[in-house]
Amino acid sequence: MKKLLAVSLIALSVSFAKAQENKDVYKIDLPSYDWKMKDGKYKEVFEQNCLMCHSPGYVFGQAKGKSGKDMWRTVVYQMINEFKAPISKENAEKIIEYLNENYTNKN
Amino acid sequence: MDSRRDFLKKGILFALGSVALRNVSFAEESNVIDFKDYPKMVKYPGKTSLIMYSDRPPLLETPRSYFASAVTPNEAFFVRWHLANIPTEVNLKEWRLNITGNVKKPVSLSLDDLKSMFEPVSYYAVLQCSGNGRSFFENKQTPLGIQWKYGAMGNALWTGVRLADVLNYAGVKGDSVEVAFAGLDKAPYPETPNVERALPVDKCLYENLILAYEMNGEPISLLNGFPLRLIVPGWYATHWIKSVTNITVLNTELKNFWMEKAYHIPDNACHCVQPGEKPKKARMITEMNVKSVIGTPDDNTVVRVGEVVKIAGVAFDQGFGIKEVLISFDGGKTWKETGLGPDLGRYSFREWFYYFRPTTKGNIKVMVRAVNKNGETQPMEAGWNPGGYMWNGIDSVTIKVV
Ligand code: HEC
Repeated sequence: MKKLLAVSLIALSVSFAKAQENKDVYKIDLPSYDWKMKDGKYKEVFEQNCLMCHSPGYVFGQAKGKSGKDMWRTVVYQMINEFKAPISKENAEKIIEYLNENYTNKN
Repeated sequence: MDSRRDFLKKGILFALGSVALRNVSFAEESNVIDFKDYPKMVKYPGKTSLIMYSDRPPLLETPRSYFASAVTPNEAFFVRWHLANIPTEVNLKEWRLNITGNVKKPVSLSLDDLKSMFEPVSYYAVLQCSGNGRSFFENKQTPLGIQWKYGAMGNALWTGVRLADVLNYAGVKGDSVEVAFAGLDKAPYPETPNVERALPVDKCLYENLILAYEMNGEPISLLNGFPLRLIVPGWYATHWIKSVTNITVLNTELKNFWMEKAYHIPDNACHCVQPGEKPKKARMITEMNVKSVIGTPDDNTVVRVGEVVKIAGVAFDQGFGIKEVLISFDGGKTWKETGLGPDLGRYSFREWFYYFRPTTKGNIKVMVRAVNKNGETQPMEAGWNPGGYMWNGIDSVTIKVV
């Protein structure tokens, strides 16, 4: 255990020295998270098509308040038309079905 | 690299022993996010615990309690990007600010050039996302976008150089119409339009915009737009381009998704339509409206009869300045004046406070309303619009008197 600490302290001071040398470089390591989507029909179509550009956080937030009429249809076609998401019409319809079923608040 | 860091963490953890382990955030935080615990409180590098809506791109909201003070600490300042490939590494030896397009002499400046060639200026200004408070429209209909509550806003002391000085150095040609700004962030999918936004040339040459390299006396963090951020005081954050690297002077209007479709509001007096309706005419969002937020006490705080509780928060507007902040304990029938903190400038948060001593038991709803020097005041609820922009409804908390 003492050895481990000694080794890590050396490693720590080496990386510190590097940072000093390179004071012009600013760097950050971003954490990432494991988003759990609800199980349901066409979940895999969603996962194959909707995770390339952003996290499912965008979807989660949208499902809390009163959903407007055709909310997910509007969203999915906005992804295709405005952000150029490469999604076939057939898959788009499946994704809309999955989201309507699992992430819509009808209250 | 990663395995060495893991190894390091483990080594340090072993060394610190089990008592200290409780305080080490990376050992505690589970990285699983379920719909039930969304949005989740997490710590990003250089940040304290913030409300996380997305990790890719990072979308982090400041908790409401920070709005008891006029200046938002950098570590609690909200984070908002559109496109997931955000700059995570910048080498200042290579980074340049390029000014090209309709100019007499295209220039390329290092950060040191900017600092040494132009006079530095500082002011406080509120940075607020257009969609701050969007979630409060949810009982009418949830607008599309991130469901921000109170904290997609913050106030900081920005230090940098005047945009006009830099533009004049390159020499703006007489027939110029707009100035376009692009940062280092990029879309993960190449066909998605990258964020580039333009402002009218006269706004850039004759108003008070700056290119800031410092926020509250420190270099702006990578998450908030290192190394240089456009500051457009009084206007919503969508115009405050982060990690600005290309400025292009234009003799025609910039046309792209972000200019023509995104961030548009109904072009009428209330900037509103019936829930679910589309506006007949829309325009780009620009100036903020008058608003106040209660920072303390927390909602549902329990207080004893006769005990004094400090109610405090911040107020701001588009730059006229705050005239008064009013408080009501009877559902808005009568309003009393609050005390105002020091004036940090017309674009800054203005602190307000009220010492309240309840005399009877029961729940008391505290409501707060700001009035600006142009006579504008907050509505009970903001008018609905498809983007869920410009929420400035009256804020409230409940105090439980026992
Ligand atoms: C090609 C890239 C891309 C793909 C693929 C993509 N999106 Fe998006 N999405 C975006 C961008 C860009 C935004 C705007 C991000 C911002 O402003 O923060 C966005 C925003 C959203 C929003 C927020 C609301 C809105 O309308 O702005 C939701 C919800 C969303 N996406 C859902 C989806 C779903 C569901 C899919 C799969 C059908 C999907 N996205 C696939 C690029 C993409």
